[in-house]
Amino acid sequence: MIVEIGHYALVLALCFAIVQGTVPFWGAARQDPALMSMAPAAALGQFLFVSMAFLALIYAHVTSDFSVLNVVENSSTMKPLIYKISGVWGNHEGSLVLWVWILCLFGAAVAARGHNLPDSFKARVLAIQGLIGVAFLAFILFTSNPFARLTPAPFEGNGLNPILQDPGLAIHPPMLYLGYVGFSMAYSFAMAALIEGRVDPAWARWLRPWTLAAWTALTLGIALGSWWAYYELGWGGFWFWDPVENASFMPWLAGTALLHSAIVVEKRDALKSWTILLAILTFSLSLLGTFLVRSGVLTSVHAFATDPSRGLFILLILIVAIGGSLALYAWRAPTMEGGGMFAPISRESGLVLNNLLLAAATATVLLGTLYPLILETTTGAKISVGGPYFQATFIPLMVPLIAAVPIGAMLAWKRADLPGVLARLKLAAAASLLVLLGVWAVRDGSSVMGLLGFLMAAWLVLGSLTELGQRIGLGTLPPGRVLGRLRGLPRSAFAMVIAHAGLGVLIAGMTAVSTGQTQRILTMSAGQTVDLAGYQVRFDGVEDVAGANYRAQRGQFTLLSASRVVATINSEKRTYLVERMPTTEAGIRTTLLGDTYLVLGDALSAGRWNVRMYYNPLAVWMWLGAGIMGVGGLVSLSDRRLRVGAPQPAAKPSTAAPARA
Amino acid sequence: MTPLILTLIALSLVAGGLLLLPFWRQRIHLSTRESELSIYRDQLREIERDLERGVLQPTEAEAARIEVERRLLKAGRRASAPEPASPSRSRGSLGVGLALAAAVPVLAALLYADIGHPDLPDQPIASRGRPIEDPQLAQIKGMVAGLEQRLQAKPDDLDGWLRLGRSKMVLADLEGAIAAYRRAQSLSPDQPDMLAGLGEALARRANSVTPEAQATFEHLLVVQPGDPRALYFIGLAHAESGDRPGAVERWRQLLAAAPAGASWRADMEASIRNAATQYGIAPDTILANLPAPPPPSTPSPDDEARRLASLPPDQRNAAIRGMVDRLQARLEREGGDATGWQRLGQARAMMGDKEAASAAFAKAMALAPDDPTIPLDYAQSLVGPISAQTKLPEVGDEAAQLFSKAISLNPDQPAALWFLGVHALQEGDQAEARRKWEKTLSLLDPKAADYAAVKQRLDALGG
Repeated sequence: MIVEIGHYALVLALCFAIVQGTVPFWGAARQDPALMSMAPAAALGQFLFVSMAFLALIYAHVTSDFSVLNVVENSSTMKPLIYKISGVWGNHEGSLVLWVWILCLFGAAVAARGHNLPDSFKARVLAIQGLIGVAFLAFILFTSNPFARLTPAPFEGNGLNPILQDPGLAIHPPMLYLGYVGFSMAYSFAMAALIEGRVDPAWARWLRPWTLAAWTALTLGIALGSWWAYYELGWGGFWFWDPVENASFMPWLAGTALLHSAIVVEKRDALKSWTILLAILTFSLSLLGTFLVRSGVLTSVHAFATDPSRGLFILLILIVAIGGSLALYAWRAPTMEGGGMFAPISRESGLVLNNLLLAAATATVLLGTLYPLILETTTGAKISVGGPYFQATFIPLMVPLIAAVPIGAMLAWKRADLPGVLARLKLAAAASLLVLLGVWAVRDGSSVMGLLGFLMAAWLVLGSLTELGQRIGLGTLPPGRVLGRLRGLPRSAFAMVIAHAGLGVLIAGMTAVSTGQTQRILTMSAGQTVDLAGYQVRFDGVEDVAGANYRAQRGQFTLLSASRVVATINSEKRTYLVERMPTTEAGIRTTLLGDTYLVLGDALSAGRWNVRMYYNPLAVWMWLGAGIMGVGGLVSLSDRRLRVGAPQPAAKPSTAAPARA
Repeated sequence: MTPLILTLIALSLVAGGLLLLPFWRQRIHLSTRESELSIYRDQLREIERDLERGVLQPTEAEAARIEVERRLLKAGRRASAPEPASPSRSRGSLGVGLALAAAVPVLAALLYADIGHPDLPDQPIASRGRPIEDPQLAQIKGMVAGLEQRLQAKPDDLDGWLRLGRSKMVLADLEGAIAAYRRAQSLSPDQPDMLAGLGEALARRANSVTPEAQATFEHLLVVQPGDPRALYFIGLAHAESGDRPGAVERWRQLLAAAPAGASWRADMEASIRNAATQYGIAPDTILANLPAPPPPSTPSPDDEARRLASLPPDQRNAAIRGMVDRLQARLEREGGDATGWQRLGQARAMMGDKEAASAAFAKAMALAPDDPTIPLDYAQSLVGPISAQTKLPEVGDEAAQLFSKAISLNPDQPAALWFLGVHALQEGDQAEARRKWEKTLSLLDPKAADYAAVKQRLDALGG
C-alpha cells in the first residue's frame, strides 16, 4: 500500500507542477493576488507530495520489497541498512527522484522564506521552477518510473554495485544535486527578471544566497566525489578529467563566475546582462551534467540510442530549457538599462577578467568533454580526451586567474590605484618567492609545473591574508583599533579571504600529489620490507576476513621509519557475495605531510602478491582546501547584510573617463 | 473500498484543499516597489553602521550614500504601475481556483489508473516468510548439522570430512567446503575425491582456476591418471591463461575417455562448449573427430556405490541383492561377456553365496580361458577365514588349483604366489612355502605395507 501511495503522490506532484508552471504566469500578468499566491501553495504541495513519494521509495528499499522492480535491480537483503538507503539514489530512477525532491525543496524554501520578494516576481520565479518540475516529473513517470512493479516478486535482488557501497557515495550525490539544482534558482531568477524586464541591485541581492548555497554544496560535492575516487578506486589519483567529473566541474566553473559577477550587479548595478546570461548557462551546464551522467551517453552513444524514449525526452528537455531561455534572453536583454560605470583599472574590471578566464576555462572543459561524443556520432570513431589536453589548455587559463586574485581583491570599486595595490602586495610576493625557493631546496629536481603550483598556492594564501591585514589596518593602526575593525568587518569579507585561501591550500595539495608522487609496483611475499619515500613498508601477509555482505583478503602492512613501527596499514580485496564483484580497499595512512597509500593486488603463486604503493605528499590538503572553500561559502551565506560598493572619489574627477558597462 | 483507495482519496482532498488555500487567507500584498524601496533603505542603514564601525571612510560612505539614494529615487519614480487587484478580480479567480482544485485530483486519478498498480500490495521481505525451501535442500542441511557434530567428536574420520565437503558444495558454502576438504587433506593427502573437491571449491570461490586449484588438480592427475574432473579444470586453467591449444588438448583427452552413456558426459560436453566459446575456442576443434567413446557401462559403478553407501545396512543388503539378481538376469538373457560373469561371481562371493559364485566364475572362465584374473578372483572367493592358531587364511585344494592356473597364465602375480605359499605351509612343505613367498617379495614394492607383512612371515619360517 505504501508503495502505491508513493506512486500516486508522485502523480499528484506532477499535476501540482503543471499548475505551478502555468497559473502564476497568468496571475502575474493580471496582477491577481490570489492566482499569484497559487505559486507558493503549489510549490509547498509539490514538495509535500514528492517527499511522500521519496519516503515511500526509501521504505520499499529498506524493507527489501522485491515487488518493486527498482528494489530488485539495485538492492539485496544482505546490504547493510545505510546502503539500502543510499542505494535509493545510487541508481537512475531513484537519483532522479532525489533531484526533483531537491528542486521542490528549493521551491518550497522560496515559497516559505521569500518574504522580501515582490509578489509578481516570486510568482514568476516559482512558475519557472514549476516548469522544470513538470519536465523532470514527466521524465520520471513516463520513462524512468521507480515504482514499476514486478509480480511474482523474487526473493532476492541483484544488489548494488559494490564500489558504490561506501559512506562517501552515500552523501556525494545529494551534495552534488544540491549544487546542480540550486543553480536552477539562479536560472529561474534570471528568467523571471527577463520576463519582468528589470534587473537591479535588489535582484542580485535576492539571487545571492541561492547561488552561494548551490556553489557551496557543489564545491563540497565535487570534493567528496574526488575523495571517494581517491580512496575507493585504488589508482592513487584524485582527478581523472573523466567526463563524469567534468560534468560536475563545468557548472562549478560557470557558477563561480556567476557568484563573482552577481557581486558587481549587487554593488554597482553593472554587468547585468552578462550576469543573466551566466545564470542561464550555469544551470544549462547543470542540466547537461545531469543528463551526461544519467543518459548513458558517455559509455556509448549507441547505448543512448538503444533507449530512444529516454534519449529523446532528455534532448527535448535540453532544447526547451537551454534554447528557450537563450531565445528569451536574445529578445529581452537588449532592452535592459545599463548600470554603473567603472574605469579599466577597478574592482569591476578585475571581476570581468575573472569572468572571462572562468568562461574560457568552462568552454575548454566543455569542448574536451563533448568532442569525443560529437566525433563518435558523426564519424563513428571513438577517441578519449584525457589529462594532457586539459593540462595544456586549462592550466594556462588558471595561472593568470590565480595570479590576479589577490590583486583584484584589493582593487577599489569604480576606479583603483594599481601601482598602490601592487606596492602593498610586495611583502606577500616576496614571501611567496621564499616559499618557492624553500620547495626547490627541499625537493631537488622539482618540475617547473610543481614550482609554479606552489608559487601560486603561496601567493593566494599570503595575498588573501595581506588583503585582510590591510582592511583592518594591521601594522598601521594601534592594536585596539585593529581589533575594533576586525570585529566590525562584515562576514562576507572574511568569507572571501577564507575561500581564496582555501583555493590556495587546494592548489598546494594538487600540485604536490601531481608532481611529487612516489610510486612502486612490485611483487612481495610475507616478511619482505621495501623502501617508500623515506619509510619502510613491511608486508606481514594476508588473512581472510568476512564482512557483512562480503568476504575479503586483507593484506597487512607495517609502516616503519628508521626501524621504528609507525603504523599498521590494511588493504583489502573484497568479493561481494550477492553482486559477485571484486573491489579494492586501499590502505591509506593520512598525515598532514602526506598519505601512504597501499593497494593489495592479485595473488601470485605461493604467498607472493602484487602490491602497489604510493606516497602522495600533502594529499589531505586537497580535501582540506575544498572544505575551507566550502566554509567560506557558508560564512558568506551567514552574512545577512547587504553589500554596498563604497566608491572612492576620484582624485581628479574631471579627467577620468569612466567606462560604461 | 480498500484502505489504499481511501488513502488516495484523502490525499486528493488534501491536494484540492492546498490549491484553495490562497483564497481562504488573503495575504499581505508586497508590491515590487515596496520591496525594492525596503532594500535600498536597508542599504542606507548599512552604510551608517559601517561608518560607525570605521570600516568605511567618511568620503567613501558619502559617495556610496549618494549612489544608493539615486537608486531610491529612480525606484520611486518608476513605480506608477497598477497596484493591488480589485476584489471583483479575486472573486473571478476563485472560479479558477475551484476548477483547479477539482481538475488536479481527476487528472491525477486518470494518470494513476493508467500507470499505477492499486491491486498489488506491498511485499516487504520480512512479512513474506521464508521462500518455500526445497525439501531435498532442507534434508541436506539437517544432515550437515549432524555430520559436523559427529566430526567434532571424531575429527580423524576421513570419509566424514569428504561427505561434509561434498554437502557444503551442494549448499554453495564454498568456504565451508574448502575447510572440510583441507581437514581431509591433512588426514590423507592423496585422496582423489578430496583433491577433486578441494580444487573445484577453490576454483569456484575465485571464479577462476587459481594457481593453487590448478596444482591440486595436477596432483589429482598423478594420483588418478585421466580423472575427468582434473582434465576439465586444468583445461579451463589453460584457457584462462590464454593457452588455447593446451585447453583443447585436455578437453579432447577428457571427452575421448568419457564413456558415451556416462550420465555426466552430456553435462561435461555442455560445460566445455560454454567455456570454449567464452575463451574464443571454436567448440568444433574439441568435439570434432573424437575417437569412438568407450562402450557404455550402465549404470556407472561409481554412482551406484555412492547411492548404496548412503543407505542403512539392512536396506543396503536388500538393494545389493536386487542389483546382483538383475545383473544375473541380464547376463543370462543376453549371454553376456566374461567380465560381466566375473563381476557377478565376485558379487555372489561377497554375499556369501559360494555355489552361485562358482557357477558364475566357471562361465567366465569358459568365455575367457586365457584371462588370469578370473581364476585369481575365483580362487580368492574360495579362501577361507583366518585361522586363530596360525593367523593365516585357510587355502583349500580347489583354491590352490585355481591359483596355480592363474600363475600358469601369468607368472607374476604376488597374491596368487602368496596364497600358494600359505597352502604349501598348510601341507607342511616349508621349503615350497619359502620359495613361493620369496617370489612374492620379489614382485612387491619394498615400500608397500604387504611387503613388510610377507617379509615378517618369511622370517618367521626360520632357516
